[in-house]
Amino acid sequence: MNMGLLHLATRRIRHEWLQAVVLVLCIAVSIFLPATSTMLMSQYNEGLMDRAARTPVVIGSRGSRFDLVLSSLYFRPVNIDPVSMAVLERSEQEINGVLVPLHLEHTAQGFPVVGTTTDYMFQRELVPVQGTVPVSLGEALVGADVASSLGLAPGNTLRTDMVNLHDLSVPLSVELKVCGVLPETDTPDDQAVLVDLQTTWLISGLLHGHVEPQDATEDEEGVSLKTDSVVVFNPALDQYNSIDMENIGSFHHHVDPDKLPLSAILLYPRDAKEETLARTRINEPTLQQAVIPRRVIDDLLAQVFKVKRILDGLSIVVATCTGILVVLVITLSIRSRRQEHRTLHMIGCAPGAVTGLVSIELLIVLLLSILLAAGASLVAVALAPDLLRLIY
Amino acid sequence: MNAEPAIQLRQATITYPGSTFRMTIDRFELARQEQVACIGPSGSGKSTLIRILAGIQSAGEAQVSAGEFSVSGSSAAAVRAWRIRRVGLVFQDLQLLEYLTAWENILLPFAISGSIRPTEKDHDRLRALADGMGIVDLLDRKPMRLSHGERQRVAICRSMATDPEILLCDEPTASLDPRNAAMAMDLLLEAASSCGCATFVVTHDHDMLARFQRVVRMDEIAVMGGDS
Repeated sequence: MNMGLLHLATRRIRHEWLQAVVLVLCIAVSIFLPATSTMLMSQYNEGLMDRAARTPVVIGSRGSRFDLVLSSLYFRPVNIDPVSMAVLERSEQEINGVLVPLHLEHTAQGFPVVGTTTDYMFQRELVPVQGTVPVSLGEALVGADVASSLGLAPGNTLRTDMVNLHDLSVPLSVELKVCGVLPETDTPDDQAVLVDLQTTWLISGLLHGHVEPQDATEDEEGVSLKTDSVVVFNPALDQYNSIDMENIGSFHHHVDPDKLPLSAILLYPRDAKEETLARTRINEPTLQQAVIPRRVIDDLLAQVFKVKRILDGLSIVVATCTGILVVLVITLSIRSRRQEHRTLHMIGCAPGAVTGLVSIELLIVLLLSILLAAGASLVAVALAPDLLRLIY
Repeated sequence: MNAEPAIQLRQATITYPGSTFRMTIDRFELARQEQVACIGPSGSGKSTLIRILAGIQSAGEAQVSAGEFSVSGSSAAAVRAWRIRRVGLVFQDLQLLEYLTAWENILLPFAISGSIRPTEKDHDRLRALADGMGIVDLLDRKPMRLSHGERQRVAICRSMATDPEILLCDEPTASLDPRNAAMAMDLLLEAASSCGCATFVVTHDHDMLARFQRVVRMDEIAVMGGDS
């Protein structure tokens, strides 16, 4: 390339910087939109589908299968009707496979609290990088994002968010003790606070702890009556909202264990036959549904790709408009620069070199546009997980 | 004065399609280091003559040669290369590029040639020339920040960039007031003398003619006529 022409082209672009900026922005936008939407869709597709494919079956109450899967796999805050522990117990008897119960109603400092069993960690291959898995009431294993954003390490505490200010039977907030931290997995587990099922029932107010009847005194607030054989508590009785070695034994519930709620049950059947049988048994006579997350996400993505097609259409419109603008600017530029081109020609510049000068200018503008679009796309894709969390 | 001309033209016939214009020049020569003024009414073909001499425009069976180089018998690329290296041009409307500084405008022939690079000696020579013209402190300014007289001097420096053998000027002082026009013409001829190039200046200003070694009238060297 003639470096002299390159020099002239860069000087011209600097001189006409406003025109160059407008062109660069227009072209960059027309590249950025389709490129970013394609990359985001691909990332979105990959992220959703990977987790869905790793979860053979989800059991939950009848209702929206999208809500069930988005809630149980991605911990999205959607309202789904609970199933009872009885469903879990019955399924365990009827289905040959691993059943992982989930309770997903609560959040702790903005992060979803996932009540489950150690089978969840096993099935998801989650091994703490610090500490251990939660085995006691009130213990929490936090995801990598939770730990980094709240600055948590084993031994620290975090509080659950208030459930219902007006329900005295529900604790305002429960203090969770961090027992471990998970490695970064680029999955929703990074954002999760994993606790024992009992802990989530405690947050819901289904489980509580208070002073032992034998230790209560009649003049104590919350004790209406105490005789040698009877202790009557009233609603003013203080309930423990943190768990320690001294009070952990006092926690109990007054609910039929079969009726304790679950949000969903993840099923890992022994084989494909068991999977089919399980879906038949659960879907046929009961109020529950068993869905295959991969199929649900396929259907969901089909809807998303309809939106993508609309975006693609808009991108074509933007690109066409930009193309027209670029042609217009170039045409006007060439017309207004006839005298300049004539001068260059008369001094000794080849006609091709004059065309080359315009081409180099255009090439620089295109290059800057591509760099800008690529940079913006990379930023968008890097921020995409956070953006997607905002959307879903 | 050397016997061999710096440039010579033989048997040029200029016509334009769709026009009755016809000009015939049987012979024209510009000796080495000679300073020649050309006068003639508007439309008499003065600018056309400059374009033919510079190899920008062809003229029928015309033979144009500059020393050993045959302008009319060479390829367009060879003529362009010759023009950049050997011919300096000063235009009536100066034609400086607005997006370049005065210094970059002076070096423009190097920038567009693709084959010749300015040496340190070229830089020194052109800075000395700019100094002599009183514009050395203005070289980092763009043309829009220069007066017309200063722009004129930048254009003269640009025509001298590649140390040419022939300087062709098309009414270079036409848009200047008499005082500045005289000053610009003196600077132009002085610069041409110092580099030893043959100079051909088209002008309407008869007050300038005394500065030249020779004055030619277009009607003396060219025959105008509508019929062949």
